[in-house]
Amino acid sequence: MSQTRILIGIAIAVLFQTALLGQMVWAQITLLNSPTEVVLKTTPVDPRDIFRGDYVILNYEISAFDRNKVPIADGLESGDDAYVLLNTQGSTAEPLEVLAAAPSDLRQGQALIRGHVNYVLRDEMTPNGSDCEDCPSIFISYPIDSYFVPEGTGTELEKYRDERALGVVVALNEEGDAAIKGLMIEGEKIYDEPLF
Amino acid sequence: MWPTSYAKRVASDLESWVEKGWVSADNAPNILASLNKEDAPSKLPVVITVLGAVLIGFSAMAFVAANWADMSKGLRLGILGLAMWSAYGAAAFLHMRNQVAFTEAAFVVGVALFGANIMLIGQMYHLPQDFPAGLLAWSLGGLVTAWVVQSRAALAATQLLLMGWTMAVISEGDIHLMYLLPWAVAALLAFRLDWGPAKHLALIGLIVWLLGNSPNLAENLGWGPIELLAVLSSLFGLIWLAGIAGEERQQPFARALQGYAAITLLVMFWVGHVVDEGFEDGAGYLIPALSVVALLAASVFAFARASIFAPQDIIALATFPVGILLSGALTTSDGDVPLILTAPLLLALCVWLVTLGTRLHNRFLINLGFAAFGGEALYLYLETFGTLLDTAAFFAIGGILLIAGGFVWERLRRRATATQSEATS
Repeated sequence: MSQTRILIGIAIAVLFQTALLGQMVWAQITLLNSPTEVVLKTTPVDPRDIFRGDYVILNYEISAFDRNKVPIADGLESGDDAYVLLNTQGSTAEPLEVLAAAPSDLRQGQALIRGHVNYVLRDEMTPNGSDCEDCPSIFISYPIDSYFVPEGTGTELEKYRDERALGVVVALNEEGDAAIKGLMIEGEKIYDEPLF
Repeated sequence: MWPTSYAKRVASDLESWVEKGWVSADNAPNILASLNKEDAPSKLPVVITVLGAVLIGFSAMAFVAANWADMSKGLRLGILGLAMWSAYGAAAFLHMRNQVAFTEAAFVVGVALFGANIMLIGQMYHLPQDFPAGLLAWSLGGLVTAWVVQSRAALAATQLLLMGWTMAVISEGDIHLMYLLPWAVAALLAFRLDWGPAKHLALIGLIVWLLGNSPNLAENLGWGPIELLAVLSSLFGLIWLAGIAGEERQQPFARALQGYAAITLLVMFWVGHVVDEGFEDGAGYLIPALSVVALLAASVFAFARASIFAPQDIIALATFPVGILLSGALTTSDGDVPLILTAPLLLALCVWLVTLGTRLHNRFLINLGFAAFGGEALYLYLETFGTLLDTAAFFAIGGILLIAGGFVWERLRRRATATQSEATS
């Protein structure tokens, strides 16, 4: 390969890789700058990612729904996208409804978060056959289930698991995309994620 | 420099050639000297340099994983981004100075730092753990780099990343067809660069993809491990045949194809004869049976067309899937596997592999046959058939049969050689 060609090749490689990285950063910054912000209750556990270090898994209260308490759209299956309509008027967001598609417009005090249906329970029976009126009917995961922390500090957050006092500040756009903006403990912001 | 096996062989033959007068005594030292001459540059510095580049990549990943809170996100991203650009800048500089090995190492560092940057962004913005998406982005960056700068090391790194990507997708229970597209692009570059290790990685990548997808495919088809292994064995038997046909036509990659097919078939037979499961209810015998028929038909065709293919090869190749099906058919509902029947088949296949390797002058097949034979014998010793006395009897009978077989074989060979000599005189 001639020197000119390889120099052009290197320039293309650098530009392509930088553009990919830039797109990833830009998408997140755009989302984090969204005016809609909600607080979701969560319970953290502390594992480790081999590539990205220590993090806490955030299990949200809005991850499991009982159809007797929250209306769930018919026809949702495992693997589908689900849209959870949230009431944002309280200190923490509360689920109003689980939808199969994003609504065309949202009312004042409402927000939308998109998740992924992990599985759906059709019959309201426990495995041993007894009635199970309060059993969750649908389990949803969200793309905000990991919170990366400095090495060795994950256990500090994990101690709030039982107290259920931990809240996650989440930025949402109109399509229901979510990004973590910070953490709250007992109503007080303990981590505020800077954009850079 | 260590003498190669070729140099050692020539050195030992040279003495007899001089005695027979085929080579003059004056020329013999010159021939030996030319064999030992170090005219090819050592590859060791290249290997060490690329290994150093890999370590730098791991260092960057550990830097990301530490998530050092004392440094702002922007600064961390700036450092890694700048490091990535510097690596490519260094590659350009080194290329202009004709430092090929260091240029390749710089490309590996660049690709590694690109991956570290992806991880850092994922960590900074708390993106969910999505290995497939991360590995795909990383692989694409590597693939573009490898193509535009025609880098061997970047290509090899990308091929490994692509394998990681497909395994990550497959581990989520999906059948992953999309892999074939970037795999083909990488394989094309491997052949364009005409670089052996990348060609091997292309073949390994295809085997990993094929075997990795198989359990998900089998689940969709309602097959159990026996049906799946039998069909795959027939498929790899066909791949082996393609390798033999390629060798007949002196295709450059035919031997490697045979080697990979042989390893895969032995591993699958081994799994098939120890897995304590019979046929899956309702799976049906049709497709496994048809796959064996297809293999037999192709073997007969190969026998008719390729002079290096022998009748015993047809039986041996078919024994791989048939032996697995036999194991499934005879496995009891309690999970007792018929090792007493299938283990001798595997040992016989190992012996056949040694004979095939000898016939084709393929040292890899010979060594593989011996290694597999030893491994299976050790497994059987540790597993034991019923009691230790039964195992002792099995090994003794097997040993006697092999010695007797070797004796008969030698007699037949001598008789055939004598007949040939008479016919020519």
